[in-house]
Amino acid sequence: MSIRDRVRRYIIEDLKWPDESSLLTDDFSLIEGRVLDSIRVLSLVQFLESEYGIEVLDTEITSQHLDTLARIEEYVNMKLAQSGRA
Amino acid sequence: MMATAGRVLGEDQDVRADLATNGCRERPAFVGPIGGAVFACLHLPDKPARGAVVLCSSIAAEWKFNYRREVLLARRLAELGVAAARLHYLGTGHSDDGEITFGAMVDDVERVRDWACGQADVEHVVYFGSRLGALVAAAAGRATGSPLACWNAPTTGAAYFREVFQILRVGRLAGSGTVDDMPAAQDLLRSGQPLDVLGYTLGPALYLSASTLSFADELGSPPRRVNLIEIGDARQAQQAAGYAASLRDQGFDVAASSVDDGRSWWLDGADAPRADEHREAVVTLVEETAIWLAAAGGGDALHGG
Repeated sequence: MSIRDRVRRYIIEDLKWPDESSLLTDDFSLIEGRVLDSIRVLSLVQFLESEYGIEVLDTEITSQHLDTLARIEEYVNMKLAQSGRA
Repeated sequence: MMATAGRVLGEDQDVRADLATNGCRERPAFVGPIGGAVFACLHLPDKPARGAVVLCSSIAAEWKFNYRREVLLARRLAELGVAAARLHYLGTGHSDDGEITFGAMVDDVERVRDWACGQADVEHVVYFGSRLGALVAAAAGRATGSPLACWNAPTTGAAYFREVFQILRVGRLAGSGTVDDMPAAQDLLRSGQPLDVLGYTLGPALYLSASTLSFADELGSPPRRVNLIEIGDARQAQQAAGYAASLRDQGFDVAASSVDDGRSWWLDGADAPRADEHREAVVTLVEETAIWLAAAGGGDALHGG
């Protein structure tokens, strides 16, 4: 399963995505669109850390990295590459 | 004794009249000299206490979030025949001013512990700590190897603060949507400036004094009896179970359990006090923690019970 699909499933199932799952497209804005509140964003960050074994620095918690599924996948791939696990 | 506005001051402590709750007594006091007094509340059983528990709270929003739960825990301990002392660290709550450092927090706990033992006429003490307070509790009971129970103990001070920094960023990001103008939190603290974490001040002295600590080191020499209770989701429970196993490998006598409750203490703390004490998860948490602590803390057979 791709990173974006795994994260999509996490948001739908664990973070209780409130709408039709088909609306959660790769470019759907999660943060700037105010879809995820702060507790869910924190849960998402902690999920990424445990699922992919990466350390999300606080300075990396930005909408540039976390706003959409596509950006999240890009960010996780970057972190994996930095650790030599890509 | 000398009367001043609002409180009666003794040479080194101020004991207010006992308050009655559920057949037990609650004794609020200012422990220590004027200007450096720690506010404490001792929950006493209606019979001679079999031992004592000192509750070490976390800080800031977590302290606020957990406040009622710790009151309930202390009251339940008193009902079970064990004296329970709560306190406000110097520089917080009702206590006098003081710079908050990890060492000062441990000193506050030890001072209240000695006072509580005298008041309750017991010698046997165990500890309880929540979040950062777990590190404090571990340190305070290290010399005697006293048992302790913890809620969401951080593995290290650095891990604790890392999560606080994440919460700060997440709170800003989900709130205003932008974090581009935020400096790195640890850089700010290392330069000696305080950090505003969603309305709560984190001082550089506390950060610098606690960020290099580890829970295992603060426990001291094994085998020390520890009950790690993780409040959170399944993923957190799994991580906590793994950490408990690593402590067992180091020779510690560790019990571990989890309570399914997905709230963030810091983020929810902004809305505290909340009336969540009747929820099943909280009732179970308080009851199971109290029973473990009472069993571990009932070591003074002198008084029976």
